[in-house]
Parts: sequence; structure tokens; C-alpha cells
Amino acid sequence: MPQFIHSRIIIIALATLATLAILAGVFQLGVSVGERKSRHFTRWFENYDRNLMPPGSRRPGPNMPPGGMPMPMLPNAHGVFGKILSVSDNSLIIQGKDNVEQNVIITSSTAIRIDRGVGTIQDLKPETEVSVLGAPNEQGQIQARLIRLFNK
Amino acid sequence: METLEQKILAHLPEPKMPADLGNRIMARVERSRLRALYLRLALSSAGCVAGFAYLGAEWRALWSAASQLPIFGFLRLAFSDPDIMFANFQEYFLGLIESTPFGLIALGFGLTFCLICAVEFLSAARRARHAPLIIHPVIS
Repeated sequence: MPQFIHSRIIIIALATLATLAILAGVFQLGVSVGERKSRHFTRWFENYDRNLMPPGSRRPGPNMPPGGMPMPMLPNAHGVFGKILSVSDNSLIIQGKDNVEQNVIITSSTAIRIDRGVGTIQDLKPETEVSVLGAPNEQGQIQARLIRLFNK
Repeated sequence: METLEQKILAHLPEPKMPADLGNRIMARVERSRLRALYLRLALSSAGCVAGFAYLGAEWRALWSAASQLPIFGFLRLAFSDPDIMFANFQEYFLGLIESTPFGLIALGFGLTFCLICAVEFLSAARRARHAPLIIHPVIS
């Protein structure tokens, strides 16, 4: 049996199988991550009116020129880093560094932190730079797990 | 008793090795070695040129994209709030993977690889031209 395992052909075959398995696993991981991101984009786009437009306003769509071209960038589904555009009771609209606005929902499990201390919703003001970690929901919003403010 | 092969070979003239056969063999080996080195040098140089040309043509877009990468935000959160990261590891991991610029990383690694290969093959080619292969005689 040891001679079988140490055979050159068997070693090459095992190495090839291991490499193919790793490549397939990495490819599958990429596919699943891409799928989640595109699913969030679809929900974000479909709910753009409801989440991000002021009530009663007309919709050409997010960052669209009058012709209605689709956006090239997929927004991140698990976080947004940028400045607060508006604050409501339990949600924020944040414009990321890629100029994509996202609606962030604050729940009871959301941690708000400022430097080394704990913050509140009252500390979240427009034009404040924030970093948000969360999870996408069915309405194309991000349910925040952490909102971090960095005082400059 | 002679074998059939020995009987056949007895009628053939004695083979004579050319006087400079060893030198001719080594010269051919040296030429093919240099050819292989130059081919690798050409390919790696072409890769370097293509990579740097792309960087030169698209550096503004690449710099703009790199400066807006959300991965730096995720990495910063890992240092500022590691407890939240561990508690929500799945979201953090997925966010990190989503924001990793694999294209830029592949470009960087590929360019570095071509550069190292080009330098290595260039120095190997220079060494081969100035110090060709030497046959060490077999001592029997």
C-alpha cells in the first residue's frame, strides 16, 4: 500500500484532483457571492422609489441620465461606506464612495459606535461620514449590524 | 559462436566518429538553450510591456477605483470593532469577498510575475552568452 501511494502517477493524480477541487470550490464561492450581490442590486433597483426617492417624486431611476441607461456598478450588499444624506426614525440614506445611495435600516440589534464610545441615533446627522456593516433584506435595504462614526 | 547481428555487422565498414563531434553537440545544445532563454525573455517582456501599457492607459480609472474600494472600509472595521466582526462573521466575510478587487490583484500579480521572469531570463541569457556550458569529462 505505501508503494501505491508513493507511485509517481498516483501523486500526480492526487495533486491534480486536489487542485481541481480547490479551483471548483473557489469558483463556486465566487458564483454564490456574485449571486447575492446581483440579487441585492435587483431588489435595490426595484425598490428605489420606495427606499430612496422623496414621496411623490418622479423616477428616472438611480443616477440615470434622461435616456434611462442602467447603472454600471453593483452596490455592496453587506456594507456601505460614505456620508449620510438623510436620517429618519429608524433608517438612514447613505451615499457610498461609488455615489450609490443605499437605505440602511437601524434595528434593535444595531450597534452605533463613535471612536471608543457608544453612540445613539441622535449622533447620526447628515454629512457625517459613516461605515456600515449589515445584511441585505428583501426590500433592497441593508439591515445594519454596526454603524461606525470616525470623528476627524 | 557469432550471432546473426555480429555476422551482419562484420561486413559493414568500421564507424568513425568525427573529430569535433563533441564540440558540435555542445554547440547545438548551447544554441537551443539560448533560443529557449530568448523565447522566454521575449514572452515575459511582452507581458511586462502589455501590463505597463495598460496601466499607463488606464491609470486614472484604476487609481479612482482603487481609492474608492470598500475593502479598506471593511479592513478598518476589523481593527476598530473586532467584537462586532466576530459576532457577524458571515456578513463581514461576504462583504470582504464582495469588495475584494480580484481584477486588480490578478493584474498586479501577473505584472510582478512577468517582471521577475524578464529580469531572471535576461540575467540567465547574459550568463549563458559569457559562460557557455562546459563538458566535464567522465573519468572511468
